[in-house]
Amino acid sequence: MEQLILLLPALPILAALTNQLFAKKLGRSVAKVSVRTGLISFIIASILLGDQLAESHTTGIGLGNGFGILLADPLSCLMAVLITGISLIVRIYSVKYMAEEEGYGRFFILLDLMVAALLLMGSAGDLLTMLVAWHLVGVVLYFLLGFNLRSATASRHAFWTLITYRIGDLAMMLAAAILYHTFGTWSLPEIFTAIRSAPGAHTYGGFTVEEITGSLVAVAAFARSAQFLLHAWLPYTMGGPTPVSALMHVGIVNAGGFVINRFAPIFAQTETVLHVIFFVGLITAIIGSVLMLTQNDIKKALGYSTMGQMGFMVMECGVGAFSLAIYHLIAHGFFKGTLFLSAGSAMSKARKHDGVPKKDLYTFAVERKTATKRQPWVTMALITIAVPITIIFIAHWLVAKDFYQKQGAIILLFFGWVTGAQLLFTTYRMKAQNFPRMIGTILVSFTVLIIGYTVISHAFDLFLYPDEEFRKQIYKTATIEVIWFDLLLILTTLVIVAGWILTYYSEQNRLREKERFNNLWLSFYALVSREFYLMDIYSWMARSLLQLAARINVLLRWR
Amino acid sequence: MFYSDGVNLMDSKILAAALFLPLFPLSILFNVLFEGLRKPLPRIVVLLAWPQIGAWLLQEANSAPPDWAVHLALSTSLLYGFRALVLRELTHWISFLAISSWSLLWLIVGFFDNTEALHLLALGVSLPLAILTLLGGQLEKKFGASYAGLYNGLGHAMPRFSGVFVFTILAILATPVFPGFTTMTAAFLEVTKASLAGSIMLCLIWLTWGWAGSRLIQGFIIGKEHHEEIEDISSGLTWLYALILTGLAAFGIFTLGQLS
Repeated sequence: MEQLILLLPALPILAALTNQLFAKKLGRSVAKVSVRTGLISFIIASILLGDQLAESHTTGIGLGNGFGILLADPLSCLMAVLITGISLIVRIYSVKYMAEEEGYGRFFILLDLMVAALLLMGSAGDLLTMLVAWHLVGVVLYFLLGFNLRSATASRHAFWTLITYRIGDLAMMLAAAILYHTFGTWSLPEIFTAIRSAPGAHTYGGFTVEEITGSLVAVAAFARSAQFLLHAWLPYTMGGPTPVSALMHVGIVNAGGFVINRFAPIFAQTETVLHVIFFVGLITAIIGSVLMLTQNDIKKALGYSTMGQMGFMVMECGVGAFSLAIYHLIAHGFFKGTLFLSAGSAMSKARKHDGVPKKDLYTFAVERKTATKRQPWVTMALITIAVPITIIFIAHWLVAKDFYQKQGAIILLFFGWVTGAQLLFTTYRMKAQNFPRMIGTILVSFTVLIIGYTVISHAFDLFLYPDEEFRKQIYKTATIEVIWFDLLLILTTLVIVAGWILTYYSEQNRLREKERFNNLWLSFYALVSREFYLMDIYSWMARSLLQLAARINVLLRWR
Repeated sequence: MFYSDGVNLMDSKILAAALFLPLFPLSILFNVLFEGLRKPLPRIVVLLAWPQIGAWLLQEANSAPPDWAVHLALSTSLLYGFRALVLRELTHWISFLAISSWSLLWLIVGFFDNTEALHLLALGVSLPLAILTLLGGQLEKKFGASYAGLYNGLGHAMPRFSGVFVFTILAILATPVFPGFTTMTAAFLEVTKASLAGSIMLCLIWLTWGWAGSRLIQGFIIGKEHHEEIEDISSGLTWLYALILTGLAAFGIFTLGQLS
């Protein structure tokens, strides 16, 4: 049964080769070849996942000589279903969407190669195979994003992606070299077994091997998942075909979360890496969301939305909720994929009708008309604070009675509470004909969402990490001292509550209309809308390096 | 320290190898020679033979390269990779990338048990450079010069040529699964053993290659075509190039297997 995993990367490669070799004969039928092999791959991946669900196990299928090992385990099978499923939808969508484009055959060949590289990456059982697949994803993406050969802009943005991915590739290469140098094997299961049996036994450059390789793998994940400072490429790569944007935002960009899960046994033995991962994810989530809110261009806004989501996903890894990150990347993949793939028909419909209901929600959100008669604020404040936290507590308590002992669960609970409270707080000013019905709908949706999210993520935890001791070890590694944790939580709460009070105060006193406040607000808005001038700084750095290279060449007379 | 000391720094074979697997400033001599050759054929002969002589000399030296040579090899590779960023003339680009790639062979002299491996990897690294020289010769024939940015948009005007061109560049940039990738991986394994600083230099070298390569692709392949009816390379020739590149990739996979 496990041998089937060899077919997963082989089938799309075969489709790409067939389409390349018989391009003239096949004509537009290249799409059929691609879709059919995609369907077969999806069926195979589903069979493999079914087998894992029946009884989870890890089997390495090798081509020989310790290289080219494919791993059939819960994580690789889950990723295979996700990749084959989403790529199948993208392929079917592309059949008509790309019909008018030049290079129809080239597009499907590149798409198949990308799927092959992703599947290889997902199931790589040795570092060499992982390196090959990891590099190839970046290279193929470069050509997919620069698919329009006449567009210099698309090519330039594809280059930004490539160079950012290269930074991650090199970090991964360094991690692989250190691991091989330390353990004398490329095999991932063997390396993980060695680490588990003697954690912290080896050092490199004054650090434990786990600490340094964990940091390098984290950098590789940051580059791939557009974390802050390595994110600039993501919002600008919308020049590629829409199916590519969909595949990128749904699948490729999630590789960061996957790779952290794949190297979980290493992260479980680190000291500070998970805290750094949490911090980077948090900053990315906040900055991505802030930048999303200030974009006028819907595509860039979607790009920053993905950045924010990726930040949240990485943050989940940072608190030790590794399997939750996998669930998050799947859930995000589905809703973002729907957004991208339905964008065309939504725009077409919007030309006839904007689709915005001219009711309470419209007058509140678009026309910014708030209710003249508001609900009593004390009642609203109580509902705002008490209801979300009660629901979240019950949901967590259902799956794990001791969840409050895990800092990671508390942090995620905290975020859920803030989000829920924010939603309820907003309704305070909203005009509604039937207020109890509106608040009831919100609460039911919130409850279903939270309980569903908690139960499913718990199921993912049991499926991906059946070893309870290992699960405990990951949470333990992600834990910080109680005093610091409590202080940080109190500080964050105070900042958020202060933000609410400031918002309320400024609305009440119409601060926006006052010149001093307005100037401050405009300066902040300019800073955010220019994306913190990061792109300008990067462009300046690139220009300076090119000038330096030219000067050296002149100095050495181009010899 | 990369390798054991106690090696005669003035070992004549090592010094001669520094000319054939060029180390700065001896690399200038190679550049002068390479650019002095006007026809593609002699350039190809030099590209294929030059590193083989260097590899033979290194192995004949019967001792590991001294530290100064290894440090200089890393610096030379980075210097030429970095300088290649702004190159637009194809012959210059080939020459700089040849120096940058061949310098890395100094790092992996002792890596493989068999002596042929170094020669084969030198060939694997040089062959794509030789193919690019041929392609450059064809461009010179058609346009009078092979210069990025002068006549961009070849992707549409000459699709077969562009396909071969792009794959050749990828092979030069040590993309998996070409032999350059094996060379680079072996170099990482050797350097990482010794120091993190050396590894970071290797990272920078690879980064500059990728940057230089994509600038070249952008300069030749991308953009609106400005030409009327340019004849593409023949289907037969495309197949021949494809066969060579496939062979290179297969050889790359084989050598990658040797790393385990």
